[in-house]
Amino acid sequence: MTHRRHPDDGSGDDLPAPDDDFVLDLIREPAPPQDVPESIRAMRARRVQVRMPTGAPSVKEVLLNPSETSGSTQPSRSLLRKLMRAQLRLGVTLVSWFFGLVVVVNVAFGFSPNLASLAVANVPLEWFIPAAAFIPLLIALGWFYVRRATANEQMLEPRPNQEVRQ
Amino acid sequence: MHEPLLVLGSIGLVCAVTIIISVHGLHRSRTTRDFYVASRRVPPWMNASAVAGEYLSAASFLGVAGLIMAYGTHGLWFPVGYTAGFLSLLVFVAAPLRRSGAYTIPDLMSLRFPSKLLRRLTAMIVVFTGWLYIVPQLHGAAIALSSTTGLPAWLGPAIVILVVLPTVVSGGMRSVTLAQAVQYWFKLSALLIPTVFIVLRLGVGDTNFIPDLANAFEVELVNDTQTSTYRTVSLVAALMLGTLGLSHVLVRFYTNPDGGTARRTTVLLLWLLAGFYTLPIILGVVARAVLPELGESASTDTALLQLPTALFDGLTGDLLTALVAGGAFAAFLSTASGLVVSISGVVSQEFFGGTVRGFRVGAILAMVLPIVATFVTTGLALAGAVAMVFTFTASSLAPVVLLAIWWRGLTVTGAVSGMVTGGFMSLAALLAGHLLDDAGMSMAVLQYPALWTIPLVLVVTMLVSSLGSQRPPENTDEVLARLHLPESLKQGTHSS
Repeated sequence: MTHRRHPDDGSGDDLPAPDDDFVLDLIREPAPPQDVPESIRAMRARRVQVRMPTGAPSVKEVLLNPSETSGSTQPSRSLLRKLMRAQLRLGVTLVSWFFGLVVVVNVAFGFSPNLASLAVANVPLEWFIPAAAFIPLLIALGWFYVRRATANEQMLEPRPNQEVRQ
Repeated sequence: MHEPLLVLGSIGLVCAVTIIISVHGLHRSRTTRDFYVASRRVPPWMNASAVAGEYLSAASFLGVAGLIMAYGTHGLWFPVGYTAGFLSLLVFVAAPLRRSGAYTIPDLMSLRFPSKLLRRLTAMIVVFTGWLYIVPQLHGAAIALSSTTGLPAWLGPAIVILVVLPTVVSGGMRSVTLAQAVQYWFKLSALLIPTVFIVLRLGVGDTNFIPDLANAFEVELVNDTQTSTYRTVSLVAALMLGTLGLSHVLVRFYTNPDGGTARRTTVLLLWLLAGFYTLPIILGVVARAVLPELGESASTDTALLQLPTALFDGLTGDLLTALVAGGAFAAFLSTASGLVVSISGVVSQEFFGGTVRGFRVGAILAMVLPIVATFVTTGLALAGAVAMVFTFTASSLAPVVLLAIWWRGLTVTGAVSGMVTGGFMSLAALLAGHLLDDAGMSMAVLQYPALWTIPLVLVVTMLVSSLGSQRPPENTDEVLARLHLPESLKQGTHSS
């Protein structure tokens, strides 16, 4: 691998990486046109560096983004709290039900080895329940959550004007 | 020994395809505008495949069957917990995270609180988690390569590093949703095809060939049921909440157009994970019956790689082994590159002002430290090591993330003390539990601490927030409105 560097590109000079050059062409700022051969310039004309955003949008950007929201017409605080409470209650209920069931099943198997080895289609219950019952249950709970959570949100929607309060 | 050339060819093919797709990805997303606009058009099933592709690591691909071999029913709860993690993600995080516009957990924290300290602390925990998570990927690569080809074990991690580091450093593999989505379907096929062959072989093959499946369900007598019950319950708790702290998974939610599609993506993801985990469960049970002697040894993680040749002679067995080995490498590569990208992103942003140089330093750091750790910690089972990472994130990040999204009373001091308490307590317990190796109840409490660390962190965070002198930030209500109100509602009110 060669170590050719663009003269004006000082940012990586102290970097020991042997594949410096390889990297350079792909993600650095393109060097000024006069240093670059015609063929590479043609390639670069089609290629613009794409990077992950370097930072989170600032709080100000998020809250005041005019295309998505407007501070003066947001629903009232009480309405927001009502929605959050409803969503949280739904989520906590589903997750606790699931986790509670995991606890109950494990405790039951722990107390009663006979129950654990009871066979369903030649498979002991201890094996059958986690593999064949719990994973499908998760899909069902997920589906149910999306329905209810969307419904909670839609309850706010038909009457936004009544709820606007400042 | 199997035919090493076939296995090497299959691993080489997977590596080549990974490199080609990531280079291709660079050309596909040509402009910044493309990146933003196109990413908003990614359909939920594609997003779900990409999350699954990134998420299904060595622990899922080889480790689940290995644990079922080693521990029987306890191992079965791993896939349940891994899948349940996405139920928690769905109900607590998916839509609010997408609506916040944050990419990573430090982003979410700095949106909620104007505190540099909290942001730094979160970033450090994210980086540390990533390091811990890469270690089992490298272990997996070592095991997979040496058990199928007989080559020295260090070559496996070397291959993973040689593929991941250049592609990540050159800018590939970043936000390439398509590449990760393909990985899921490839990993699925790499287990589905052998499963179909094996089930057919056992079902309709020679009657005298069929091993006694009943043996598979025999679990060595557990003399202490309380301990094993506690262990399983605490494990499921750790896996259910630990997913909320995985930065490389959360970053994928940004490509959903809005909160509603983020939810639909997660439900599809539950389907994809359920579909995938069926396969290692079936294969793990079959392996218990076919390879009982392996259960005694320490290398149960190689069960899936040995199963094909145990059941098929000649070329069929070798081809299936090569397929499984290729799928395993796809798992190591996709998870490792996702982790390296998320670690180097955070390192670059926090400590190098977001420069490309910082990103590269981060990528190199992200691989070097795990390599060292890999050689120090060779004996751990893959899925067991990953479960420890989940325990750590479930104790340090997850409770604070939950409170930041759902509780307006959270303060900076509360969040910091919760994270420090959880991180410290869980690490101390895990270390103590593995240094003092013993089987009693007290060891289980240390080796599986999630059941007590999670409530402890919640209580500490809430108490410090409520009783401390600090007030929650003034814009809390506005930020929470942003997180929880549906996009359509905001647009509706805006136009009216």
